Amino acid sequence: MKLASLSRLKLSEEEIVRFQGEMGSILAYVDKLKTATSDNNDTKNEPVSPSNKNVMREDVNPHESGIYTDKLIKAAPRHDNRYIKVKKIL
Amino acid sequence: MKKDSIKTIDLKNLTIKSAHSALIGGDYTVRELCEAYLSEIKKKDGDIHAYLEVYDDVLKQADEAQKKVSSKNMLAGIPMAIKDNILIEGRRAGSASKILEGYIAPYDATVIKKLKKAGVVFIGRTNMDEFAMGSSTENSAYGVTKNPHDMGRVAGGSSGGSAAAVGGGLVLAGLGSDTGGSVRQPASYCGIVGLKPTYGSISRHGLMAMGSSLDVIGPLTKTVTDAEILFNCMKGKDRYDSTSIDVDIKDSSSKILGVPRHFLKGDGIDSAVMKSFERSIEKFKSLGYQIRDIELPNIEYSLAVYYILMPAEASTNLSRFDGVKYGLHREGKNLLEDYLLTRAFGFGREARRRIMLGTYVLSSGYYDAYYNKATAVRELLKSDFARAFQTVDAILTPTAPAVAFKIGEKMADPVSMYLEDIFTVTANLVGVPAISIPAGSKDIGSKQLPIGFQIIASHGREDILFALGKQFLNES
Repeated sequence: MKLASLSRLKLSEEEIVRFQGEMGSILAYVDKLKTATSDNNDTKNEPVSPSNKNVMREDVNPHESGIYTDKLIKAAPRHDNRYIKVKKIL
Repeated sequence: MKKDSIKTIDLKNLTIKSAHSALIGGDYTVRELCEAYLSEIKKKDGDIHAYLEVYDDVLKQADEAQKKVSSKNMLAGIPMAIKDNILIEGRRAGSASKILEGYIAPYDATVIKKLKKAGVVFIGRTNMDEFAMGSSTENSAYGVTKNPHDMGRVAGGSSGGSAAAVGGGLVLAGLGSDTGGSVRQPASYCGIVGLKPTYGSISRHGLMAMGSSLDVIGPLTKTVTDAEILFNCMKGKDRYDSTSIDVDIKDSSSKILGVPRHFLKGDGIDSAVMKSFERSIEKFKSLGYQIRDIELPNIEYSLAVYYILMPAEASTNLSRFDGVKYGLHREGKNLLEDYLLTRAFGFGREARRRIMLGTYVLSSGYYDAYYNKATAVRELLKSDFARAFQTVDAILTPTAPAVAFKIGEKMADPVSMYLEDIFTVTANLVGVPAISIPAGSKDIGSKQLPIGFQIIASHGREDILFALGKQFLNES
């Protein structure tokens, strides 16, 4: 229930029961990871710095301002001229 | 010359290479080639359902492409099908999801830009599991794609539409995306070649993201030569994808092939698949290769690692679909309810399952136990492979544990569906290239269901995959 709301999904009672069962079996499967590296002491429970790294670039050389604006605004389901319409937040 | 409305072209045996020779030789025009495919689609796609949309301007594209036909331009006039998660400017793109209903791509993906420049004709966009989540194309919001070899069975997934289109003779080549096997497994099920290139070797600008540390775009083709032609056209660093890299073309001279026997002992593997695999190994031996048994100590954890990292990344990537910026919008009492309703209605069951799973493994209480642990084991897998590639040039495994399964067979049990990816996910976790090669079939009743096997090489060594694959399929 809490997970659904964190995930920004509204679920029916019936769906909650179903998903709980399915998530349980998936988590039971991935739990086999707990046994990984047990015979590999040097890496056990040590934080590993991943070799996948974020690649950044300088924020320079933008495309010409405005050339995509109309197309992107039009993609929004609710828009008004050059604005995307959303409900009041505060 | 006979004035037939549709020219008879032997589409069954046609490849990019042979179509190219025919086009420069003037045997037929690009328009005639495309008409032949459109007529096949009309006849067969009502049953197969490989396409979500066949474009209405194919012949216009064909006439334009005709001007580019030349001996230097291998891809000019070649008809291709594109997975529904790759953007073509001005056309619908939806990842086979209701949440993107009505979405029009505002720009070309980099791969599309390159293919357009080469003169490729886009026949249509193909069906897939919603947001590339699945191994059967059953998770599409628009109905399942059937296997051209047996209409009662799945085409595989998630790039099932492109695979069925190529395997069913409804197009010459297709594009898919591969996060955990989504090009290779459907290629195996449809009896064709599927390449998952080195992570980063092909730009993903304009590909809808699922698992960003895993996703790659890959070609689905009838021959290894065709896969190589497409890879060479699409590869290379792109300023719009910071993770993209340049891959140098190397000259391959591989001698030793490794087989992780310890990983092929489970009873979950179909005996017909193992028999076919053993025959493939024998063939490589007869071609002069040395086969060596290798250990990949952590490979049994691959699938568990994958089903933690992929949902974690997918739940993050899919947070952008909220009913505000694109596609579907469902009206609620307030903004939060707009989100909840739009996402609940717009995402199918598998997408919601993975969003919740990802949210769970990233939540503060479970982050260490799941996400961090999976990241650590991923590093172990990488060192396993690095070690293996010190002694062997390539690794062989089956592509999938069985042949195409029956429609509906695995839908009730997500874990059984996930096990489809057992041999394919590791290449994505490690970032290395892998290719599925067709190798025989299994007879079930009157049907012959294709079987594939997988060759894995180290980073940037697509050349090894191409050389081995071509030798295996006797391509000159």
